[in-house]
Amino acid sequence: MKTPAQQISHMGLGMALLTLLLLVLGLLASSQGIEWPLQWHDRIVQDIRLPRTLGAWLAGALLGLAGALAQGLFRNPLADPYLLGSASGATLGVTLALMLGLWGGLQLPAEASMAAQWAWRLGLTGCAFVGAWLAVLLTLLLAKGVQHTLRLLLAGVVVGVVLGAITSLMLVLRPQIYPAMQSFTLGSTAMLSGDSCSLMALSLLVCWLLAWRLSPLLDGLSLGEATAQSLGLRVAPLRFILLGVMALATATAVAQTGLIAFVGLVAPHLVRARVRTTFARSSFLAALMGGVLLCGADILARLLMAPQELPVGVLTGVLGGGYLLWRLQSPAKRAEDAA
Amino acid sequence: MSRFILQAKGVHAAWDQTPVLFDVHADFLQGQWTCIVGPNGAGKSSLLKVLAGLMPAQGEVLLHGQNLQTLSAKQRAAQLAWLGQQASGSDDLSVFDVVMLGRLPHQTWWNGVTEEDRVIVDNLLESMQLTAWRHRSLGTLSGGERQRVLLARALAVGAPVLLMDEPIANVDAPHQAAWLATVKQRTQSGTTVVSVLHDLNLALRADQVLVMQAGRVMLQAAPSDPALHACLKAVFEHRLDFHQVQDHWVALLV
Repeated sequence: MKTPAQQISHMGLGMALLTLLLLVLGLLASSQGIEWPLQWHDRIVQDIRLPRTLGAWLAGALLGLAGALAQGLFRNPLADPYLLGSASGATLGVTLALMLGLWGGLQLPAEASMAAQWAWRLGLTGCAFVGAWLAVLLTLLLAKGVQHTLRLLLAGVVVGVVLGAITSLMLVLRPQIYPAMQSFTLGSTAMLSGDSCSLMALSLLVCWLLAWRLSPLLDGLSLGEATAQSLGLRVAPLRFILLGVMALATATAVAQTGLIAFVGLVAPHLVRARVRTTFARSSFLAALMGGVLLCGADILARLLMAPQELPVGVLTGVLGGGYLLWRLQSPAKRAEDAA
Repeated sequence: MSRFILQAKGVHAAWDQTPVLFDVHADFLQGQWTCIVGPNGAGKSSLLKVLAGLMPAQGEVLLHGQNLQTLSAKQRAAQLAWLGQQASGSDDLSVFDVVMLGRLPHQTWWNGVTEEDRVIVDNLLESMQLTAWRHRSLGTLSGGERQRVLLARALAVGAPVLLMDEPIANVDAPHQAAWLATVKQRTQSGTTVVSVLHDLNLALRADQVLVMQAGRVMLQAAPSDPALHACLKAVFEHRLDFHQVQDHWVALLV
């Protein structure tokens, strides 16, 4: 029988190998199917497929990490960044930024300077972050804290619906941003650039480092809030920082790819179905799993109906929803319900 | 310097604006085991939480004569180990991970688990016969087994004061005896133990018994003290009688 340490290292190694395989496959996947051999010097490979494949992995990793944080912070396996309103908040932030024409409107002209492109990306990500953070705060305010899980999830649903309605209203008021917002709400990896990848890589590094160092809080919280406090953990401020980390991870991914469903919810579940371990390790594995899921889904979205491409958010929604339904019907779950 | 390691002086506390402790005074000597007893809703768990610095209260709680409020969270955690009533355990953490959490007060932000921490946890697992469960998830253990692991987690802190709320509620007789032996061994080595217990016969094995009723301390005395027996009879509606068996006292329902 494998020890937990062996299970963790095997899973990590498996994810790393799968990542490499998917990265190569992502470079080969074209609108005509798999192109072999790889034409590395082709501009399409370097300028489009490489940032898209890498970006899909990074966005998935950010969502996987955000999902692990949400489930750890709220001690609820149903919690994910979207259920707590942060994705709706991020969407509203991006919509507002586009509507107000900040940072040059929908897209910068191709000849814009590198600095202008970075400012544009950072500006959109910043708006998404502020929106996500405010939405989570609003959810916590309505739920009067995190103690009552049902109230928290209901508050998250309410905030998500209300912010979604405000976003729709913005779109009615400024229909010219509708095309950009449509690909945003469906979730798309098609427009990812090298800049997006750099931003997501930086955000993933910062978020993961913070989650790793603050992980004892989440392990302590799994034994109850009073136990965590008795261990010298400053629960309120640390929880606040981790909420910020979750909002940053969600916002960075959402600002680059739009709304991609279920990755944040499913990735930590897939990890926990195989290994049970401390938050530092499980969040790392959830990030790897999220990356693999979204990168795989992106390649499938390109190939399934080639030459037509499916929005990757639609695919993750169908696959993620199907997985959760299957989990609900699994023998273990049925036994749990019957008990 | 006070001879008491832990003191509560004029403590008042409330849950959601409902007062639960009224002008509580209690003293705890170093190396002694004090058991807090009383009927349901007497304020026993609240007092333990106030002593652990986990519940806001008016009045003073002094640790080595120093107000608990003046200590940092880490300092307090390293001095006062607390074991609460635990309804459920983590499904994710293994027994080893849970016991290792007890070493958190000694770890800094940037220096995680040390070799010393590992040795302490390994020794504890062995002495408490938990080594076989080392890799098992806490959530897969029974209530009694889980309580033993959580006791090991509290002992791993290595604090001079150990506060325990109903630590053996689901534990079978042999492991209750083992718990008693652990407490005696710890107090002999200088640790102060304060526990809340419903089992009066176990409580009467303590060095001191503190009787509470309706948020007030009624009496703090040795188990052999006739005043304590009278107080316990009054608090438990005269449904108890006390008898000496060999060198300790037992309470019988009448």
